[in-house]
Amino acid sequence: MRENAPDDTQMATNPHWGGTTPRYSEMRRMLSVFVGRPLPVIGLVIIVGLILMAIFAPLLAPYPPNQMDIPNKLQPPNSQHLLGTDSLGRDTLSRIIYGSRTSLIIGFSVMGISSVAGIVLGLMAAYFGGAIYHVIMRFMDALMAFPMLLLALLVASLLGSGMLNVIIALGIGMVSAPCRLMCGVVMSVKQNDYVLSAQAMGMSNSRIMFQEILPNAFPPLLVMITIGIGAVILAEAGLSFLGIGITPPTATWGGMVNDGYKFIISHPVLAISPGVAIMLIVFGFNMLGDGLRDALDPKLRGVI
Amino acid sequence: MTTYILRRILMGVIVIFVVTVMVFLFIRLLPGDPLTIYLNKTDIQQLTDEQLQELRVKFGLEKTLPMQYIDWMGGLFRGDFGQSIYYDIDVGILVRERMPVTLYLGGLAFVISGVLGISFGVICALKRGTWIDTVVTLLANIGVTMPSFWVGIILIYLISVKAGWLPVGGYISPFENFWESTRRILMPVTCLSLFSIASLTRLTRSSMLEVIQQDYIRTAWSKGLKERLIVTRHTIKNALIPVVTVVGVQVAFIFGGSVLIESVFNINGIGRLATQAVQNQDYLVVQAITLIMAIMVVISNLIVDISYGWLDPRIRYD
Repeated sequence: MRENAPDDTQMATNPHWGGTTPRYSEMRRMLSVFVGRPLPVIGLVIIVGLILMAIFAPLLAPYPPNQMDIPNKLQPPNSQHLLGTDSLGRDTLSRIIYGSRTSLIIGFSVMGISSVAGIVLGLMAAYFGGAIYHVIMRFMDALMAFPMLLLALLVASLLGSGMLNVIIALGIGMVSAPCRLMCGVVMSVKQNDYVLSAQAMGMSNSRIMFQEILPNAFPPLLVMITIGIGAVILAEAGLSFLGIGITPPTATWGGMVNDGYKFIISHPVLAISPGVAIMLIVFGFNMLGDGLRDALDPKLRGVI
Repeated sequence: MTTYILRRILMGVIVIFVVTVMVFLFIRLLPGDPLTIYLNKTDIQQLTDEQLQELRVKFGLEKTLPMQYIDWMGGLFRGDFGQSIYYDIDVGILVRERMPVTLYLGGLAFVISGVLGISFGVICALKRGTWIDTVVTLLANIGVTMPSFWVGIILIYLISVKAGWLPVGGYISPFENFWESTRRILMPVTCLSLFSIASLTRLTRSSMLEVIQQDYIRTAWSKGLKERLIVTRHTIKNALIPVVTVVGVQVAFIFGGSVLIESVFNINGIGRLATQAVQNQDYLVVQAITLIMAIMVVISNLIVDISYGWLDPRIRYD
């Protein structure tokens, strides 16, 4: 955390940065803010739990996710099938457990791709300024004008279905947020003395951008990516609900809600249970993101 | 102020231009024969090569991409969006017919979420630490995690199927039968506005809490101003600045939500038309809807930007 240490004026005015305080206390402070309140910890537990569930799905799921059993179709919840079976006799609980894989893979890879692309574009736009800035930012403005779901629908319809294409479709929709965030941070720090001195020392542009400027944006980016994963999972659920994107029989929570919708009158648990799973995972990421924001925000130092 | 407005309008026009180029390219970059945009795949198979060539010339597909773009834009200005290959009618007519439904539902959801979201956020911040704050904040945190289509299904199950209070779906124009129309849109509008209410509550609350800590609020208190004045004039006015910036995002989000909600509640609006058009590979319809929605988002952003410069004088000078 040395890069993020506050400058001298802040240390002098803030009682938490007195001369006697050892340097590593900042890390400890963040940890105590994060752990000190229940919601972020609950969020972290939910996410770690779901990741473990996705990894060990074959061990946890009582049945294979796509194993059809037509004679036992549309069973109500019972001791054999805790959440019942769907119209093809597949075990709902097993499909929910396997569905976590789809959601997590898509959530992480979409945010991974879009934040790398967004960070690079945002850095370039703000650091070089001028024409490059205008071209990139007007392009991002245009991208933001499309409703995310419609954009994903359009891209997925062009590329066809499949997990990779869904990742690309949602990734394009998510680029503008990290790009704008990055651009804002760079604009505010690029006039700082240490950037000017790096330029005066003859450091290359890319080295200044990635070594001197990028670390400043790290806390807000981390928060944005965490909450973004939740947003991506929600959007993917919407796409699967519309039957666009990931092809059956792969288990997706959105697709399961859609399948269950047809039997809502007789078997409400089919549509309701995958929705609870979606809520849980998005709640986890949102709470983790909020907790990180409070822990990492230097403005809240000493307030919480 | 005039230069600020002119600059914003110019930027808006540039963004709309980029939007049109993107929408145009999306459709042109479709894999396969571009003729499939204008004709059914089965029709194409029945035609001879010569006829296909003729059709290519007719639709201007032999020209370069920039020329095709100019042709297309010229058509748009004349109100010509092309012909739907699935419905076999003019896309402009189709969209004009479905648009009011989505605008009505979306407009209601927009107003409701703005009023409720901001009020809840303000109340939470003023009563921070009390049980009202805890309950509303928790509900808002849950509200932003619920998929709208799923909430719709649960509402249908509980309110229509179990209780039998409201019809399952469908849409009737409010001019035809206001009472029946309102009964039908109650659930869809709730679903459309739920996420926005919850996210605006969260945003307003945190923005209020940040403003409350500012020095000028302490100054206002120490000057002996009345509490009501401090809250309305000093706190809320400043706290709403970041809230106003997300109006454009809300518009885009409600449009996106209408794609899902109209499918759940069987409403023939523009969102459902978009899904059906994607499934039917009716690309000119998809193109028209995407373009119209994006332009409306750009325009609402423009209005926000201009009113923003008027609300917050600092913005005008950067």
